[in-house]
Parts: sequence; C-alpha cells; structure tokens
Amino acid sequence: MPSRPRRLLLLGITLLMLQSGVPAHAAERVAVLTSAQGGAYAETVSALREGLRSSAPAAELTVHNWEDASVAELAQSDIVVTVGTQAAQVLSQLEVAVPVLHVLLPQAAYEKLPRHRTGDPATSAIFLDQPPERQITLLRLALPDWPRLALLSGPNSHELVARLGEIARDRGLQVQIAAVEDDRQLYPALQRVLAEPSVLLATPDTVVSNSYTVQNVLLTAYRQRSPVIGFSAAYVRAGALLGLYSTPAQIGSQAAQIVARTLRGEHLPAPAHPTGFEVAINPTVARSLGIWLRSGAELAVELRRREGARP
Amino acid sequence: MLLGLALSPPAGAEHDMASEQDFLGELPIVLSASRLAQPLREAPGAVTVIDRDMIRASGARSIAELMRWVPGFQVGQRSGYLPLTTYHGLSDDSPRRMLVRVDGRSVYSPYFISGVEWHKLTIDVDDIERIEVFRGSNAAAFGSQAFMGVVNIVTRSAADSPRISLKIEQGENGIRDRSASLARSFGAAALRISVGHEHDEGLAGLADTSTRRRADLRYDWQLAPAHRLEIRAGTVELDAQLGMSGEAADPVRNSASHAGFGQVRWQWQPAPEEEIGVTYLHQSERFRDRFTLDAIEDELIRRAAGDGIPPALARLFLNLNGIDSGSFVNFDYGNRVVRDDLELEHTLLPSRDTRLVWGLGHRQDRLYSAGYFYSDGKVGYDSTRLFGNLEWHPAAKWLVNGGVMIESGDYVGTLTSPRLAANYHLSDAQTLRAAVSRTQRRPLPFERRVDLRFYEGRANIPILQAFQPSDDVEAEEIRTRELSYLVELRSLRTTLDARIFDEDVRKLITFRDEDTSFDCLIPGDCEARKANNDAAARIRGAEFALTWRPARTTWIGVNYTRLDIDSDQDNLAHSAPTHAWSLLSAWSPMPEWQLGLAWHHVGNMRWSTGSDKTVGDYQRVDVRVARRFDLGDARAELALVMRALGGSYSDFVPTVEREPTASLVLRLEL
Repeated sequence: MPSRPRRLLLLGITLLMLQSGVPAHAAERVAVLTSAQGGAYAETVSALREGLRSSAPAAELTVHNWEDASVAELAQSDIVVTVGTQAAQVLSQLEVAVPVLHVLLPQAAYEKLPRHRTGDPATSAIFLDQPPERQITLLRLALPDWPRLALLSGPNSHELVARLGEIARDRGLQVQIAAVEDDRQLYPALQRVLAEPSVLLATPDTVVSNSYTVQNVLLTAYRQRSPVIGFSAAYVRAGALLGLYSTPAQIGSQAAQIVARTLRGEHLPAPAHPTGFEVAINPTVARSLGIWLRSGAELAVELRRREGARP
Repeated sequence: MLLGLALSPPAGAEHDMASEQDFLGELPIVLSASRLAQPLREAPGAVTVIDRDMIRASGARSIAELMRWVPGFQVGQRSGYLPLTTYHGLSDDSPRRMLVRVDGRSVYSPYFISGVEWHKLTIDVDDIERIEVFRGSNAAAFGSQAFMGVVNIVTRSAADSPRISLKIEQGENGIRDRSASLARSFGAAALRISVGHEHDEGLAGLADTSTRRRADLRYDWQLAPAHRLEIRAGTVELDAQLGMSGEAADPVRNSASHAGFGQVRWQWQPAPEEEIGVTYLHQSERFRDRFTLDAIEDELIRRAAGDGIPPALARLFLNLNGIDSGSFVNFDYGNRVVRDDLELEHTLLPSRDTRLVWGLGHRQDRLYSAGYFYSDGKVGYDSTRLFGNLEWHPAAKWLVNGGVMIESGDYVGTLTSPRLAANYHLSDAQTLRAAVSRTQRRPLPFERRVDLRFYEGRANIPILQAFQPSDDVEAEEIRTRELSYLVELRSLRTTLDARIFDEDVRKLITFRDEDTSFDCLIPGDCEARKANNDAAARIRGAEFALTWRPARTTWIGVNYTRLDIDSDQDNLAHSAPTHAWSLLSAWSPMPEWQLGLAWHHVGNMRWSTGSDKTVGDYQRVDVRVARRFDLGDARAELALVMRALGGSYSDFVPTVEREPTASLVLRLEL
C-alpha cells in the first residue's frame, strides 16, 4: 500500500499533466464504480461489459469498488459509470471533469445528489423507477375491469404519486391518494384509500414500502380484496399480484448503449427511466382473489407493443 | 488517493435515503399458501365466509351468534353464557359434532358433554379477520371431530390493526362490555394484545349472570424472508351463576372456569408455493363447581312422593338405610384438562397441475375429574393422525380433490375418513361440484368413561348413579353425498350458492337409561344413563345463499335451509327445523352512516334434552344503526344495536325466553 507522501506525489503529477493539457491517454477508458461487490452490481457490470464489447470494442473497462478507486484514474477516463446509490453519492462529492452516468439507483436518490456547477461536464442517470405512464398502461392492460386506483405517498414521493394520479385520471381511473409521513400513519391511510376494492400501486418510498411495512400493505390490501402492483420481483413473491421492474442486466445493457454513444462524441442524454423491463405475476394470489391474468411474459410483450405505438 | 480513505458516505442518510435496496432487496413472503383463502369455486365443499365488515354490521357480541348467518346451522341459548351451535341438528344441550378452530388451534374440550365451549375463546369479535365455515363433513382436513362442520376463525394480524382500539358496550339486561387492543410493530416482529371484560345478567328467569375476563396475545416474528415464527397465547376466566332456584339438587350457585393456552408455530417457505409448518400447542382448563346439599333426606322424600310413596314410609326407609336429617351429599362437577398437541403440515406443488397438503400430528389429553370419572379419576385420551388432501387439475375446467384422515387412538383404534370431490367450471362464473365422504368420530372420554355417582357424605352410603361408563360404545359414522352449484357474477356483484345433500348418520351415540350394577339406595330405581350406538338418522335437504354486494358495506343476502331428518328416535327426527330463512342486509345511506338489518325465521325444532320440549317456530329481527366519526387520524363509531326487536322468543326450551335487548357500542381506533 503506497505511503501517503507517494500518493500525494502521484496526485500532484496527475493534476499537473491534466493542467498542462496533455491528455493522459488516447484510448477509450470507461471507469466503473460499484457500491458493493457481487449480486445486482456484478450483473449490471457484466451486462455493461457485454454491451460495450459489441458497440464499442475499443473501450477499456475498469471496475472498482468505490473504496478502492483512485481519483487519478477516474479523472483519466472518458466516462465514469457509477452503479448504486453509494457510489453515486461518493462520486458526486468529487470534482471530476468527465461525463458521469449514474445507474441502478432510485430517482429519489438521484435528485438528492449534490448539483454540479454549470460549466462542468454533464451528468446523467438511468433510474430504477419505471415511468409512470408505463405503470398505468400495465394496470389498464392487466386489470381492465378495475376502475379504482389507490396510492400512498411518503415523504419522498409526493411528486411522483401526484404525477401517477394525474396520468391515471387522464386514462379514466378513479384515484384515491393518502399521504403517509411515518409508519404510524400507514394503517389509517390504508383504511381510507382502500375503502372500496381498488388496485394499490406500490410506490418505492422508504417509509411506505420497506421490508417491514410491506406486510401491512399486503395484508390489508388482501383483506380488502385489493390487488397490489409492486416494483420488484421480490414484491411479487411477497404477495403482490403483479410486478413491473427492470433487471440489473437490462440496465447494464442500456448503460452500454449510452456509454458507446458518448465515446463516439455525443452528449449524454437526459436522465431517464429504464427502457427494458419485465412483468411478473403471482399466480397463487391471482387464484385466491379470483383474478385471471395472462402470464408475465405475455403482459410484457403487449406492454412493449403499446409503448412503441404510443407517440 | 483512495476514495475509501478520503471520503465517507454522507452521514445519517442511511434510513431516509432511498436506495436500490428498495428495488433489489429481499422481502418476506407475506401472502403465503396458508394465509391465502381458497377461492370458493375451488373449495371441495360449500364454504360461507363471514368477513370483518359483516361481523361489525351484525352487532354480535359473541362469535356463536354469527352462526345464525350460516345456512344449515341451528343456534340456541342454553343460558346467558352458554350458546349452543350445531349443524344439521342431532344435538342435545351439548353439541359435539362440530369443530371450531382459531388460527389452526382446535377449541374443543374433550372431556365434558359440551364439545364446543364458546365461552372459553380468548378472542373478541373485533379480533377476527374472517370466519370460514365449511358446511359439511370435513374430517379429511381437520380431524374426526369435524364430523358435521368446521368453523375456522382467522384472527387479525398486528400489521393489519390500528395501534390502539377501544370498545365499550353498555345496554339492557346488565350488558357491560369493555375491551381494548394494542398493535405494535418492532422491525421484523409485530405484536397484538387484546383484553376484555364482559358482563351481563343472562336470560330472563334463569340464574345465569356471568362475568368474563379474557386476554389474548399474538406475536409474529419474521426471522428471515422465508422463516416466520408465530406465537399465540391467551387466558380466559368465567365467573358464572348456575342452577335453578327451588331445585335442591341444582341450587343457584357460582362456578368458576379458567382456560389458558400457548401455541408456537414455525413456518418455512422453501420455495414459492411450498410451505412447511410445525405447531406445538399446550392448553389447560379448570372448572370449579362445588356445593353441598344438606337436606338430602328431605330431597329424597320429595322425590319418593313424586313416585307415589308416602313421606312417612320414605322417611322410615331412609333412616333404616342410614340417611337422616344430618346427612348431606357433596357435589363436585369440577374438572381439569391438559392438552398437548404437536403437528407438522406441509403444502407443496408436486407437479404443475397438483397441490398437496399433508400432515402428521399427535395429541395428548389428560382429564381429571373425580366427579365425572369416579372409577378412573384421571383419564388419558391420546390420538395420532395422518392427513392429506390432493388437488388435481386433470383438464382445464376440472378440479378434483381427494383427501383422507387416518387417526389412531384410544377406545376404537384406527379410524379412516376419506373424501372425494370434483369441481367442474361451467364457465368463469359457474361451478358445479359433487362430493362424497365418510367420516368416523371417535367417542369422547365422556361418552365412554363417564361414571357420575352420588354418595351420602357422612357414611359414604351410595345413593344413585347418574351416568355409567360404556366400554363398547363405538365410533359414529356419517356418509355424505352432495351436489352444489356456485355462481359468481362479478359484474353484478352477485353470488349464488345452492347445495343439496344426503347425510346418512349411523351408530349415533345417544344416552339412555340402562340397568347398572351400582348399589342404588332406592331399589327398583337403579338405572344410569349409558352411551350406546343404537340411533341412526338420515338427513336430507338443501341450502341456498344468494347475496348481492355492490359495495364493501352494502349488501342484501337471503339464506334458506330445508332439512328433513328421518330417524327412529323422535328427538333426533325433530332436532332441526324443516325450514329456516334469513335475510341479511346492510346499507350506507350517507357516507358516515351504516344501517344493518337481519331477519331470521326459524321453524320449530327440539334440542334433545331427554324430554319432549319442542321449541316453536320464531322470528328474530336485529337492527343496527351506526355513525362513524373521523377525528384526524383517529376513527370513532357509535352504534345502537337492537336485538330481537320483534319480541321475546324461545330458541332452546319453551320455558326460557329471550327478550329484546338494546345496547350502545362505542368504538375508538387510533
């Protein structure tokens, strides 16, 4: 492990080189910063690698855990991709003058990142959250006979829920929204919002949808004969009737496309929702509620078709 | 410089900050196989579901009262705190051919004549999530005591309860109920505690004032995404009056009963539709009813006079046999029961088209009653059971259910109760169902070993034996055939459930006076009741339930039951009404108001209490008017409940009348 004076020297030389305008390296360097090893992070990275192999074969990909990376190396890359909230938060505190793409993080987390000063290279992101239009389209597609939508908004999701409600009303649904500030308000909020059997669209808010409160939501909704649409495969296993989510692999592939275009000289696109997604269903819950559904795969195909057709 | 040394993640943000863990992390399996109710169209028999809204709208103070809402059930009130519920008749004052379960625990006392002891439940009506009533024999899934019907009560989980809830009911007839419940979540665990105190003065003309104190606890702990631990415990105390004024051998007195239980269940979901559960239950009960009859000489003389023997002669006879004015008899109807039960249950999908639930269990009951089991004092009653039910979809519209219960235990060895049902879905909305089953019910310790005797207390002179044991009483048997038609019209919010059935009950256990070897005091009067299998009955009839429920709190339902019982025993033949109607309705005319109305018309019937006391047909009207108040996060509801608005009626014996009573109920939830 290099000693402190040596590292400072390395930093000093690197900065000098940057200041002198001599590019550190001519090849295409992609630095990836992950929040943790293994699991979803590794899946995202390998999908990114796969994607780049075909669309930008000259790119060199270096992957680091956020603790093990060096500022020098990041500064020398052509683009930095962060995987996960932790890596994104850490990187955004640095002044690294290269384009940054944050992936595998919620929209709420992205919006809380410190904003860069103007003049710095662009930052973009691929959120984990599904676009609200897609969620409502799935609801109408899978449950056409259900006219009521119930929504719970937590302290971090008021705008998102308001937007969902707006889109739903435009599509002819009756919408009930209840605000929850802490988990003690969850029970009365659920009673209000599920007064009649409705579809409850779960919103990714840490107060409303953490691994503890998911019990409250699913049990109460089930008792009210109300199906829940969740935002992860785990939520469907837990008891949501339907789930709409993007896999780490799909996000990695989308990141690869963006990285390839950036390496060719294009600007980073605006932060966006994921384009690829999957739909899962819980057949046991469907049976118990007496709801007939097509398979997750069929629903996903139909949903993609409708998205393609919509301007 | 390494980032790890230079920087740390923003402080204090872990809990509030949204992260990808919300999307990618593991979640516990909440709606597991055992938590999900089977859809009606796939049930192997007829099921009536009573949900929380219906329980609230009924104004019922006790769970037994709700059985009125289920086609095929007869409900009577023996005394203020002893409701009698039976399915398809055949019952005396202690119905024992039905099973009641709370969260999988069977509430069934195996010793005394009365099988289901409703007053020993530790839960309140407000603690109930839903009640599923399986109309018809269901031993294949629940054991031999589910001879004619099963009432399955599922309690509310803490996650679906308000943090604090209070209920106060005050009304005529000394009605004074108080109950409170608390629900809290502690991370992965959730706790719900419910306590209550109930009091009323019972029925007019009876000495049956009672006070009940109960406490119930439910603790659910999600150990890991696929492992859950559930702990249930409860205790109930009942102080109740007994006896009839003027009856020396059954004087007005106080009794005390106490029941408590603890149950632990571990559930594991190794795969999405697979679940393994192990449950251990320990239950203990105590009943105290003791008194001394001092004037035994006078009582015996009075009885002799009723038989035509002059008092002087009777007194002479008694004195010669050692009974004089100083003689007394100690009565002790007390008892103590301890039950231990261990069960393993496994739900799995052996293939895409099949679902199997199977299990193994062992139960040990220990009964202590010097009064009822004179010769034994202590009685053991053990049984081991193996059960299984396979659901199979042989083709798109067909569902076949095959189940069996094999139970080996005391008195009659191994009993087998198989069942086969086939459901055919004519369409999404219509299902035809046919089922055949055979159930054998093991005799209870009371039926087999009862030995109730009375001795004079000073010199231990035998007086008489009221009940004698019956070593050769065998299992009862019921063979059922049924056909039913279920229509669920979702768009019209209407459900129709029609069922016709033919139940052949053989070797019915009834008691009759028979000679006994006991050395009775009064010669020629030496008989004691003894159980025998000589009775039989054939029950045929139909049940209809039509419900329109356009909104959660608005419905109209009509139930009709037709029962024809053929039996060589007159009492059994008249043990259920030929016709019974119910109209159940609820309506929210304005957002904050709710009205509930239930009208029942029950034909005449007889609870076979050994005498020919037919209870005439009656009508009963219950009305409930409720107003809800939203006070910020708290919700309150004030309701006026009027029971038997149509006037007094009798539903057990003609001499005991049930009068109209009204009460006010205040509920508060935070």
